[in-house]
Amino acid sequence: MLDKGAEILLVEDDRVDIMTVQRALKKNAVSNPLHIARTGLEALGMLRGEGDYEKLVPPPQLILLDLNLPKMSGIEFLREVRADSELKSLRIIVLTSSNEPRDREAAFQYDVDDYIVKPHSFDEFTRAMATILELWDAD
Amino acid sequence: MTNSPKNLWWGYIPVIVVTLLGILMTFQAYLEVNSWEQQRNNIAFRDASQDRILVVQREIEHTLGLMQDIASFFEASPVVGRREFRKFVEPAIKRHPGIRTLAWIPRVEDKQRKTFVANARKSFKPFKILEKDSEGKMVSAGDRPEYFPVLYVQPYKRNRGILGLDMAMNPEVFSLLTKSEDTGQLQVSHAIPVIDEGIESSGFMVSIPVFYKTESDTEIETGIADTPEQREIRGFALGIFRTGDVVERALESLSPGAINISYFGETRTEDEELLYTHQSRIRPREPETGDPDDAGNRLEFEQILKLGDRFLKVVCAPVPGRYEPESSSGWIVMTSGFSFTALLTIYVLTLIGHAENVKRLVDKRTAQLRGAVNTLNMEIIERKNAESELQRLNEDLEHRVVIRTSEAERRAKDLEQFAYVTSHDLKAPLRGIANLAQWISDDLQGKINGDTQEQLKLLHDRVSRMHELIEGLLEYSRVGRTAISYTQVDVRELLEEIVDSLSPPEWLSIEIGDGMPVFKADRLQLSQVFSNLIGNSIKYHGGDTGHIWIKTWESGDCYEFEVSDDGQGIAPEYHEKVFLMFQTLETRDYGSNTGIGLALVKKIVQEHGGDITLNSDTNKGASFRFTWPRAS
Repeated sequence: MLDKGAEILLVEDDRVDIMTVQRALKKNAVSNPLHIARTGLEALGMLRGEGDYEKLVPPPQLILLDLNLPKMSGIEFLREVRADSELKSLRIIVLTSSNEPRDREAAFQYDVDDYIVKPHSFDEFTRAMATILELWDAD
Repeated sequence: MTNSPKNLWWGYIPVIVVTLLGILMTFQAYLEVNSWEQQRNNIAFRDASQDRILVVQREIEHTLGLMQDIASFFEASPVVGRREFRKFVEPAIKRHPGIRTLAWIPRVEDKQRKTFVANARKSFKPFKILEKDSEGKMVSAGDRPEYFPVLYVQPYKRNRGILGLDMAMNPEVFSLLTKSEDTGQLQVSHAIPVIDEGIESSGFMVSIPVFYKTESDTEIETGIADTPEQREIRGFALGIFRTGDVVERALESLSPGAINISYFGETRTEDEELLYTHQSRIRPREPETGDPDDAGNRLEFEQILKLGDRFLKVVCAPVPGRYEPESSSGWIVMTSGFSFTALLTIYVLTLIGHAENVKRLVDKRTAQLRGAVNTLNMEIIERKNAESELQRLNEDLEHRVVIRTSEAERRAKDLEQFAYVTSHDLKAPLRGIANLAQWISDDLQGKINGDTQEQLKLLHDRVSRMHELIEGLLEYSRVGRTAISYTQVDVRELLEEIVDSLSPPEWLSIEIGDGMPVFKADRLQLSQVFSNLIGNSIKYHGGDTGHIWIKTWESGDCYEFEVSDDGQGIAPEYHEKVFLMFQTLETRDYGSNTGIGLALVKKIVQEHGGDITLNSDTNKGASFRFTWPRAS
């Protein structure tokens, strides 16, 4: 289980998908703080405290990352994070609608903890989120 | 190629040379042979002539020897009777037909005349010393200081006319006698005519002196002659010989030689004159060719013969037609030479002809070859042109291929991009719609009426269908884009997994046949094929009890699989259509039928080098067969 109070960073540009995650968490009775970044750049800014963004302290225990993002794609974001000595150990789960083997391979190349294709139906989505959080090992 | 006339003539030079050489050599040989023949003939003639002259010489010596014998006979006995004389000379006369006369002529002084005649009359009564008077009549000789009468003469019959004749009165004989007395030696006269039985022939006289013996003679027995002045003459032995008979007698001993021998000697007039000609017994050859007097090629052999102190010239000449060089050998050589030359010429001509032929043939072949080479060269040039043209075209083509390929690659990329965009950008809003619809439905639970609920449900279904279409499209486009990955596949295990995941209804029994292979294949795609086919069979069976059979067998280097059922089947007119994209045989409302499944199956099977066929009819079930190559 995720630590109580452990923060979650969701990197997602689609409002409905953000709502889906929020609803799913709510439905699963998860009340951990959820930060939202709409682009990869924004997420990096929040993690590093760069630009207009306040640095997230402590760093989020879990990052839910969409791959198809404006300005900086999820893969690019992964590359930046893994290249950053401070951030490279962050735990990241890819949450994407792409089922392409190409994307899957690219993601795993950057040492992601899981790769989840967004289920089509909300119920399935909720179940998938529950599974992720339940099986989460905070170590 | 043609030969210029000059070349042609040059080619015949060997023939001309050979012919000329042959003719030249033949002539040379002919001349040589002729000259050799001539020489041989000359030698033979000379030898024969010498033989003849030799025997004649011997005969002459023999004859002269006879005279010497008579002289010796008189010298040996102081008194020689008529009878004794005859006995002595008779055998010689018989042997030598050339002897005309043999006589003994003593010297008689006038004072002894009477005694002498008286003595002579003892053996020959009518003897007197005679002489010829002016009319040629025999008369008793007049008184002279000395007389030289013929006392004995043989053969008597022929010579009786001269018996008693005083030879001192015959100047010819007398000079001979005197000469022999003076020299004390045998003397031979010049040629004299000898008349015998009216036939005149040539002859010669031989006189040899006989002296009285002196004291010195007896004292000195050495035979060294005293000077004639110191000795007193007793008489003379006189012989007359017919030249011809002497010669003939000599030649009798030899076989006929076809040589005529002429003898020339001095006559009274001191001129050289033909004395005798021996005509060979061999007749001249007939016909006599040419002029017999033709001296051009006449053979002659001349030699001087000794006749006492005189000389006899002997000239030998062959009988006309004899001792002529054998011209036949020359002609044989000539004929042979010409024949050989002709043969050689023909041979050389043949050789040259042959060489000409060969040359002509070579020329012809060379020309043919050159033609062929030219043709070949032309062909090569043409081919090279064609090749360069081809290369140009190829390059053009390659260029085009490169362009097309890059274009195709670009399009493939576009398609990929399109697929990606579809997968994400279409799916995402769709999911949003689905979620929103779900939430609206959830949030308005109990606040909306049945119709609205129903409409929300329809909305949800359409969204789901669209989602599935997109998923199918993505899957379809992914086949061929992704690399085939081979793993060891246990087909039975794979089928069991698929059947389990499809959760077929209980009324439908699915039988997996025996002999399912274990082989290297792309597990994911093979699984997709099977699950689509089996899924279709389940989905469209249409009955409430039924079977699905899955069978396999080997077919060449492929495995053939069959998925068949006893369901509603597919009418033949749709057999082609079922494999097309988005073709469905049922209404769109029905379940999750996208119309992509069989198109995907066909694409996968063909992508792996196999094929798929359908065998079915309405209400008779459907049977899908596909082949899957065994990976090498």
